[in-house]
Parts: sequence; C-alpha cells; structure tokens
Amino acid sequence: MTSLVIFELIILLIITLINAMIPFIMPDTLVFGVRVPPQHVHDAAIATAKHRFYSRWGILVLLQVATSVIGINEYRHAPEGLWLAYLFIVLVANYVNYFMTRRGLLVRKEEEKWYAGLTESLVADTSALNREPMPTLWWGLPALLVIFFTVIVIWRQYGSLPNTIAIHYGLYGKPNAYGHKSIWLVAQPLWQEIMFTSIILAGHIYIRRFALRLDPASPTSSKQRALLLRRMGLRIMWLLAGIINLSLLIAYLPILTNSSPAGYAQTSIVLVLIATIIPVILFALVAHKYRHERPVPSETKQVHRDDDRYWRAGAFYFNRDDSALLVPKRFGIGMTFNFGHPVAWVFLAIIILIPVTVSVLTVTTNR
Amino acid sequence: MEIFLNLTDQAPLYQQIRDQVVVGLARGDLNEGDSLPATRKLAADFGINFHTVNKAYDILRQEGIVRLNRKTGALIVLDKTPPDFKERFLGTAEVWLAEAIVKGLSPHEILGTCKSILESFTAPSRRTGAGEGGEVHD
Repeated sequence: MTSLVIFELIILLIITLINAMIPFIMPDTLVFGVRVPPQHVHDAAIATAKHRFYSRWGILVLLQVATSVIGINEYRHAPEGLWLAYLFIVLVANYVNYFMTRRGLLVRKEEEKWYAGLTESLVADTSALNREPMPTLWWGLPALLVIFFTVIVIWRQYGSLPNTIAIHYGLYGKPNAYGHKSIWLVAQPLWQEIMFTSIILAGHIYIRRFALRLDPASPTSSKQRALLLRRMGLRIMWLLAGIINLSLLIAYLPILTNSSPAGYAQTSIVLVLIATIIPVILFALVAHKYRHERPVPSETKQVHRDDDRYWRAGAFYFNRDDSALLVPKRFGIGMTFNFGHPVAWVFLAIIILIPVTVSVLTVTTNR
Repeated sequence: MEIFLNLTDQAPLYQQIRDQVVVGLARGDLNEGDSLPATRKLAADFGINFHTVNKAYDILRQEGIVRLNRKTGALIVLDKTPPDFKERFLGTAEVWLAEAIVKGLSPHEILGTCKSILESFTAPSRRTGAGEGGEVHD
C-alpha cells in the first residue's frame, strides 16, 4: 500500500526536521549537548559548529528526499524489512550528525580551556517545587474518556466476532496473523491504552519528585524555564495520551469490527502525527523563547559544573554519584534514565520485557 | 532558598549544605517550621549522592536545627540552645579572629566585616539563654 509508505516517509522527514530544531530550543549554555560557560556562549567555535551541523543536515534532507522519491517509484512493493532498514538508517544518520558536531565542539572546548579560572558549582532550590502550581489531573480526562469509549466498543462487539480473527496487519494492510477469540486478544487496544495512560498518570503524581537541575550562573531564570517547560510538558503528555488512545482504538477497529483495515491505519497514523507535531512545535517555540539565560555579570565566576563526561555518546547519562533515577534529557525535551543508577536497569528490563511478553503470549495462546 | 555547592572548595559538600542552612536561618531566608526537601529530592536536584545530603541533615539534626521525618523530609525546629554553646562559640570565634590577625587583617577591618555580616542577618535572635540579639554596635 503506497500511501502507507508515503506516510512513513513523511514521518521520517518530520523526524529530520525536529532534529534541526535542537539548536533552537536548547539553552545558550548547552549547545549540541556540550556544557558551555556563560562567558563563551558567543564564541566563534559555536557558530562554526552550528554551520557544520546545518550543512550536513541539508545534505541529509536532500539525500532523504531523493531516496524517498526513488523508493516510492521503484521499491513501493519491496519487503517491509527494507523500509524498516531505511527508517533505521535515516535515524542513525541524524544521530551521527549530532554526534560529530558535539565531538568537534568538545575538542575546541578542551583546546581553548573554556573552564579555566571558573568555579564549577551546583545549585538547588529548597522550595522550588513545593510552592509552584502544577496542572490538575483534569488534563487526563480526554484520555480517560477514550478508554471508557473503548470499553463500550469492545463490550458491544465481542459477541458478534467470529472465533478466528485477524490480529495483525502488515505494512501493506494484509492480515499476517490470526488467533482464537479471547478477551485478552480482543481487548488489546484497551490494555495498551490503560498501560500508556498509567505511565503518564504516574509521571503526573510524582512530577514534584523529578530532579530540577538549575544553572548556578542564573538560578532564577533557569528555574522559571524548567518549571514552565515542566508544566507545559505535562499538559502536552496528557493531550498526547488522549490522541494516542484514540489512534489505538481506530487502529484496532478492523479487528474489533472484523472488517478490512483500509483507511483505519492511515487515520490512526495521521492522528499520531498531529498528536506529535503540534505539541512538539508548541514546546519548541516556548523553549526557544526562554532559552537565553539572564545576562550573567562579567565578574561571575560561579558556573554550572562541566558535566559532559557523564553523557556517554552525548545521549546516555551515566553517573554513579547521582541519586536521581531520571534526569532532564541532554538535548531538550523530556527525561531520561541515569544508567549509573541500578534501578534504571530494572526499568529498562521491564520496558523491554513487557512488549516481548505480550507478543509471546499473543502468539502462544493463539496457535 | 537556593543552596550553592562549590565543587572546587576544600570544604566537603555536606559541610557546605549544613553551613548554608545555618546562614539561611540567620538571614531569614529560612524560618522555624519551614521544611527542607527530602534527602533524595535535594540530592537529585544537585545531582549528587543522597548520602551526602543525609550526612548534612544528620549534623543539623544533632545540632538541634532540624527534625528528620522519613516522609516529609527535614523540618526546621530550633531546639533550645545548649548551655555550653556560648563557651564553645567563644572558643571558635577566638581561633577564627586570631587567624585573621595572623594573616594581617587589621582589627578595624575585622570589626567592619563582622558588622556588615551581622547586619545581613535580618532574622531576630530566637535562641533562649544565649546571645541577646538586638542592634550591632562597633
């Protein structure tokens, strides 16, 4: 089904576009994942790094558009694996661009000794989160309403479904797996909706416990920025939960109604696209607006600790001396695990085990 | 209140936390009844090991400045000043002032510094039995 392939290519292009936004949404003191003291935010090395990043990015976009056009014309009926490999290559290429830029900047920082004469410090606000208002749980209402609606659909449809039902459709819309009717199988969208919503709910309840990292050179403005983005991020996650729940219900409608999947998968993907792009753009605009830290007095020697060494490959945080399980991501949006914390590995195992177990259960109980 | 940790300072991190809580109290940035974040939360905000914060809180507890609670973290409670505090304080102050003289600071300079520091402590003296509080005189 060519239209689905086109959708996938559009998603890929959007990922590449989002990649280009990274330098715009990060604080001036965190460029391509490299910690920059306020005294060096206007260094020529940073302008050069940005220039190189966008040059490579431009080439990537051109290559992507060219290969996509060729792909649609020549390989639209190619095996699904080929398209997945293509998706993987594009993602890796974008990451390599980020990694190379970061590396170049790290070398310059080291050579020019940006931290010489400065005092590396840490700061925490003892009252930061206790007094700050956070969004209410009402933001979860749309997600809950979709769950409620899913229950009704499953309840109404279950009796009329045949004993053998299609349980999975390939990229081109043909059923590639069948199973015996059971509540476990038919209610798949419901289980997924509940799991996804529960994760967001847990994040909401524990939001005040998440690490709030401030900049000692500008504690007030970095706190305002962090709290603003945190509040906004939470609202966006709830709206995202509502739309993803809806897209799950729509994606499973062919199974629930035992009909052809034409149109359902596309609608589902369009919903996910809208759910992702609009919040990301909104978030990026706000992050961009507040990325300039308050001007730092020239006599200030107290700056944020140079924490580049804790970010393996510029993306994975590993610090055994840090008690935080989740830390703000190095390139902007969301949180990531501290892999120096043993519990992070437990969560990682659970995250991997859940889909594997669900797949194995689905396959074994229906053979 | 913001607590800053200087990573190049010779003073250990737990000592820096303890000292800044005490200074914060004197300045009125912190008050009796205020709560400090739970150990793990404060450690996570700094990005340091929670044992460091634990140690700072434990010293403050021993000094009768905070009461620890597993759920709510640390609560500022200023216990009654121990009777021997004044004596210990005088001993510390003597060494500290002697150090300044040995390093070449003039008595006038030292007094000026002491005065401006004391003036920055806006909080009235809450302790009973030690120190009378009130105005600072040369």
